Amino acid sequence: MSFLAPWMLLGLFALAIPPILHLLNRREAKPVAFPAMEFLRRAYRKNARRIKMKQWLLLALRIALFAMLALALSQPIWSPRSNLLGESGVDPSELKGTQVIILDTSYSLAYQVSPEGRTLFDLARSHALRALSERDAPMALIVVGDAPRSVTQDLTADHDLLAESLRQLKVGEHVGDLGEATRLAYRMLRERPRDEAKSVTLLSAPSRYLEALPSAPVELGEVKLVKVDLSAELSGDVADTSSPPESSGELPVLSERDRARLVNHALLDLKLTPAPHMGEGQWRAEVRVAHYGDQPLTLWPIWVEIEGEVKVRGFVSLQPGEIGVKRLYFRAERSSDSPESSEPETSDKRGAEEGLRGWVKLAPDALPSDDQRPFWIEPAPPIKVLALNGDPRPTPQDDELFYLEKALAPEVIGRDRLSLMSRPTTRGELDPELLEGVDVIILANVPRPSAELGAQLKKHLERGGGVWLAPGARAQVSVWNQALRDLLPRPLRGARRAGDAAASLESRGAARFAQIEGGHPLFKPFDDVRRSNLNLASIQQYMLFDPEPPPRSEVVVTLNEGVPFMITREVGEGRVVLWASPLDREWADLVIRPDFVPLAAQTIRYLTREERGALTSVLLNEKLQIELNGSGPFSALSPRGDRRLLTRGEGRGTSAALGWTLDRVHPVGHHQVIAPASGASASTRRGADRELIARRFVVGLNPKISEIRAVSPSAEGAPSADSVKDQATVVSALAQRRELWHIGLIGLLLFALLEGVTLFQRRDERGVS
Amino acid sequence: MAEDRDVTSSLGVGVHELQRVARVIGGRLSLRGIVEGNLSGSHRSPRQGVSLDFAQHRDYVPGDDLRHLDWRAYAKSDRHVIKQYEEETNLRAHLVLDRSTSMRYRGGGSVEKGVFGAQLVATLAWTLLQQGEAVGLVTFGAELASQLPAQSRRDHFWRILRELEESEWLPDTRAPEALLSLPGRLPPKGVVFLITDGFDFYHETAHEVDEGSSGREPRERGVKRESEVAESRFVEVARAWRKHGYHVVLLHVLDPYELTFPFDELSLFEGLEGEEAIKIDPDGVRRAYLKELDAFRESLERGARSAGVRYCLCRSDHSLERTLLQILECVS
Repeated sequence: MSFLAPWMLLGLFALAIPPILHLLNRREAKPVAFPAMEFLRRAYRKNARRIKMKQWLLLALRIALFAMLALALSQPIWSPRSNLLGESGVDPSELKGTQVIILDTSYSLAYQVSPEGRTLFDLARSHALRALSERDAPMALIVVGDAPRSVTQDLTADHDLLAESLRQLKVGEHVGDLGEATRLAYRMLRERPRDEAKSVTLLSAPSRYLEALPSAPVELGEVKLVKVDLSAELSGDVADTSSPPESSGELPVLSERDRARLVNHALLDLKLTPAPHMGEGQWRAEVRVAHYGDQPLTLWPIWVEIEGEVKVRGFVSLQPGEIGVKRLYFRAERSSDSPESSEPETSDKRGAEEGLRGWVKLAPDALPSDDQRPFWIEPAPPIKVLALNGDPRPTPQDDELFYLEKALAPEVIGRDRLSLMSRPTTRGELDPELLEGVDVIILANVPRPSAELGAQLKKHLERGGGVWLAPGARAQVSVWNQALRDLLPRPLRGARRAGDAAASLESRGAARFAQIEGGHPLFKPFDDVRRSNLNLASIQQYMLFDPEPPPRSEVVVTLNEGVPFMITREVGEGRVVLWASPLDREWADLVIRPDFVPLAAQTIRYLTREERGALTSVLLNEKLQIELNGSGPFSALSPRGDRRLLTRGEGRGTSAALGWTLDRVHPVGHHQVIAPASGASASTRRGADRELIARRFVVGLNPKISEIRAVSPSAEGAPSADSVKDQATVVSALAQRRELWHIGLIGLLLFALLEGVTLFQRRDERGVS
Repeated sequence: MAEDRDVTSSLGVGVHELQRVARVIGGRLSLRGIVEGNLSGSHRSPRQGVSLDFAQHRDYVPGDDLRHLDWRAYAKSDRHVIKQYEEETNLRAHLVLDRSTSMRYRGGGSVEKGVFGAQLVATLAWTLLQQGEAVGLVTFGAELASQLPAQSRRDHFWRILRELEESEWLPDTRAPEALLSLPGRLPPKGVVFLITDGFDFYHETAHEVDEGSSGREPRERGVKRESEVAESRFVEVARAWRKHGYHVVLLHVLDPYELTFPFDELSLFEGLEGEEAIKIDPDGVRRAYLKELDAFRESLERGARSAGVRYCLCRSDHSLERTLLQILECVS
């Protein structure tokens, strides 16, 4: 039992008040002359015992009254320790025999439990050191690091060795596997006699005790699995008989309330997307923040740093147990006056210049390691677009490509990023040199594409390029179908006027978008594409397509007349987008809708496959799987400067790209994949030794154990990062605690009632008289 | 003339006030009535064999037998007077007043119990003397303190008053013994008004019990035993008086505080007769005390009834008129 307001226990001094008043009253007896003394004396003699008992009872009641008052005001609570002590509920101090101590060094143990910076890990280590000093039996220490490991090969009686190892331990950033550690403990105990008393003591954060742990094999005999409640250690419930050498002072005793005031929140994940509609070079960071505290989180600072410079600041306000989404818009550019010396990797200045290291950070709390997430802002490669104009006009606004050129203006897609070449053509023959370096080719109402053009486009697609087809009134269906048969998402069948075919031309009406695949990458810039003004576009005429879909094609937009309007297809490594209308206003007014601008820009990005390799993010100690062009060898460069070779994996290999893997990536931060200059398609040079940066990726902390309190196991099985994120309600151990102040209050009322009854009896006697 | 004196120091009220009160009961308080009512059917009526020896005249009061009206005197003086004969004047009233220190208590009453008793004595004396009865006064404490023989002269009232003023309080009492010795000192026959709080009967017995036993036994026997002893002591006195031809009226004077015990603070109770003081929380003993007192009062009343004594409880906070009417009711 502990108290939320222990200082109120000072009120126990008030217990002295009733006896003092009692003594004062005794001294101040008023002399009264009375003749009927014999009656009085006899009455007193007969009732002396009862009177004294009643007086003592009253005194006791009044003392109890004050005691209950002090007890109620001090707000006693009782925490269900049995939840934390495991099934056996054994007090660790009572354990005998062989013991294996499992010490968790996961990042959640860095939770600060006192303002002085003492952490859960410090408490765990204190407990372990005390256990080592109190026993003579063989013991072992298993450290739950990236992988569980035992400090010694076997159980040892050399406790000094174990203690020395203990003192050198530090908390990591990983999420340790307690199950594996327990299995290792059982393996170490296997050699011990079956009838010997054995125990496995687990020292970790309360929330981790809820994980399912393996039970001891039968051949080991009885093994007690003890989960030590470190919060009890903190509150002084466990006697600290031998303080650890490194902490000469006593354990800081905090009240439950003080601990509840320590805020704990975590950044669960980060989604980074370009936000060109907010301006050139603008990005949007969408972070999910979970709040694990008991008090509402109000205006807690959050910010985005790029290369050490804060780009945008914001605040989050969350209720206890709530998970909120915060969006931050910022301009991703290196500050011109930011000193290069502030770079964490001064040895790699050139590399750092071309990729921007960023962090989303929350103001630190009791567990700071989960309050930040890294990200890379990669320099977007320039995009070269070749538009074949099949319907050039002298009047700009009548020109086939007028609206597309406006939509892909540099200030929209990014300065120095997009170069749009326009070629008027009727057959679309292309000079092969013209295709060099082109990412996207647009066929805008080209009347008769030649077979040569078709072959060139197919080759372009297989190399990973993109093709945007927008047939209009001038397009000859049979020629298109013939020349572009290998890349058309659907064969063309001819133009059709929208609306009721039986009505007159004036009253036929227009078709509209009816079904839009909102999750398709084409609509990534839209929060909700169904609410965009694309739906207001009226389509007077459209191209009918063959209903038989070729492989790897997908209808993205369907008109209300049931016909597809926008279809995509993957050909080789490239992509094709087919519209059922040209890019001018001849058939539809789609191009004058404001949302055509982000749609056109995103279509270009989609066709360049720009989003495919961007912003690779891996959780700490998980497996990295990426596709890289080239045969390698590739190596991963960590923020610490370590290099590890990637291995060929089972990734979806194509003619150009192969899957590569790296196990257990660490540490948290910004990583780079380095390729030899000759074998990589990446354009970034690194260093003077002709190495190139093939890819960048970040390693983030797995936030699944950020909640250190014992939350109810609502998620089935082992909780993943996602399951932690999806926990809508968090039931904490603090919520499970039982507050006992009302017992004090009930006692107070009861004793007040008893005193009232006693006094009423006396008054009643007076009334009777 | 001494009648001019209006206020007596010891009574606290003026003579005129006493006379006014006495007029309230008028001639209704008749010694003969007391005797007749008491002896009806069991003793010889005093009216039989009336003596022919003339003794004195007295004023007519309504209810007197007109046969005894002195018509001659009426013709001469135009006053109605009754002729009294020797036999009738043998009926004397003896007012026996308790002057023990316990009677000095004044709690909730307007005056001390003793003063209230003295007022009663004065009023009764005035009333009876006005009716031509012979009235005597006896005060007692541990022993008989003073004694005025019964006389029917009206100025005898002033002697009674003087005696009341001059009589002293007696610290300790052996009242039953003193009262037992009283019949030998008084002429036989008459009516005795015993005005006392009766504590001396209890007081005496309490001593006996305390001296005669020890341990838990007397306490366990409790109130009943002591009350019974008090009752028997009173009956003994009453019967001794009855034996000498006295008809007894017991006027039991108690203070309202004695009857209700209204104290509520922790107090050091000190007796008036030198008893050891005790510190008591009144709330704790109130019920037991009242039980003791009620038992005592009932034992006295019961003893009085068994001995042919009229019992009347007089509260010292009541007015004299009310008390006299109460006495009238008791003796009628």
